[in-house]
Amino acid sequence: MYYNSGFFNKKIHAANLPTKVQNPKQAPPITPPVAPKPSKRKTKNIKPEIEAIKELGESNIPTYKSNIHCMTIIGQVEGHTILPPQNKTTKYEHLIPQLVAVDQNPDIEGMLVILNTVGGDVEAGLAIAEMIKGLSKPTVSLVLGGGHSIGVPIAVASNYSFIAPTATMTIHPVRLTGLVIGVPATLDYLERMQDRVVQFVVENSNITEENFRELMFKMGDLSRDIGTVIVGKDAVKCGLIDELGTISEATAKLKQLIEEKNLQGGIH
Amino acid sequence: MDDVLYTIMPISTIFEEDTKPGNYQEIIYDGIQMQVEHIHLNKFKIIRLYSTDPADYLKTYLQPGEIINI
Repeated sequence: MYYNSGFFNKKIHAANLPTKVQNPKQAPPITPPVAPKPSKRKTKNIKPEIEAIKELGESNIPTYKSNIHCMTIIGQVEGHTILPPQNKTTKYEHLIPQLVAVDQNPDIEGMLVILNTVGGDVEAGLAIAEMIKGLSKPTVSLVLGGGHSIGVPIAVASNYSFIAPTATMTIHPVRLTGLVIGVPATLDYLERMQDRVVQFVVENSNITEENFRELMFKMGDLSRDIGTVIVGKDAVKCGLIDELGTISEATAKLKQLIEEKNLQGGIH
Repeated sequence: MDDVLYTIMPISTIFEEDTKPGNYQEIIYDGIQMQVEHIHLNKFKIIRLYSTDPADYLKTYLQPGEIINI
């Protein structure tokens, strides 16, 4: 019995373990002689080249230093809660230290803010907008693709704003998500939240409060919502954005603002 | 009070469930903050850089998709 059971166990082990180990080991030696040999050679030929490129790339980087730094605001502006992973987000804990660094670094003379955002957290968006507004260096913003919802105050926060002719901005009321407890208080809170956004936009652009609120509550422009979608030229026409343009116009303006600032600094 | 979202994205899309979290982490490599995907042991794939310096985006060894060893 003992011998038998021991043998049996061993057999089980022998049957289980080696097959698990041997199969992967056996599999590669079987496949190479059949066909993939050339592919193996190819990778062998390419590998050193890639490595060389990588190494050369590392050592041959030209020491190019830009006096203009660029901040891209993409996807959702993420606030105090982490959004699920399918969202592309811009986090305020990344941007705010970067803004401080841009403000403090003497080598940086100006900042370009590039927006392609669908909106996001009101508080985080306003925080970023206030930081851009308060930056001690010239700032130029450029709306590409879309600068919707909370992207609007961020876009107008800079010294001068540009919008690409094809870019759009959606202006709509601030809505609440999830469960509402205490409806009158919540509505009042939302109203004040909305006022903060409206106030910031009106103060930092050429649009009038009346005009902005009109766009915000317009009916029939959005299929599922109240609000307005404004395309490039219209954003300039209503005074929300300063000028139509893309990268070349934005950098030219930024350089001009930097020069003006340097001249002023020289006089004082 | 919950966060107030001011966005054109439908809330159902933002908070959609059943999505796998990526194996992403944030690290500082070569002095640059970046998002990377853990591949194997000390190998990480670059997903995106968080730098404001446009020069960082020209570095060939920091292009998205490059594998870095830490």
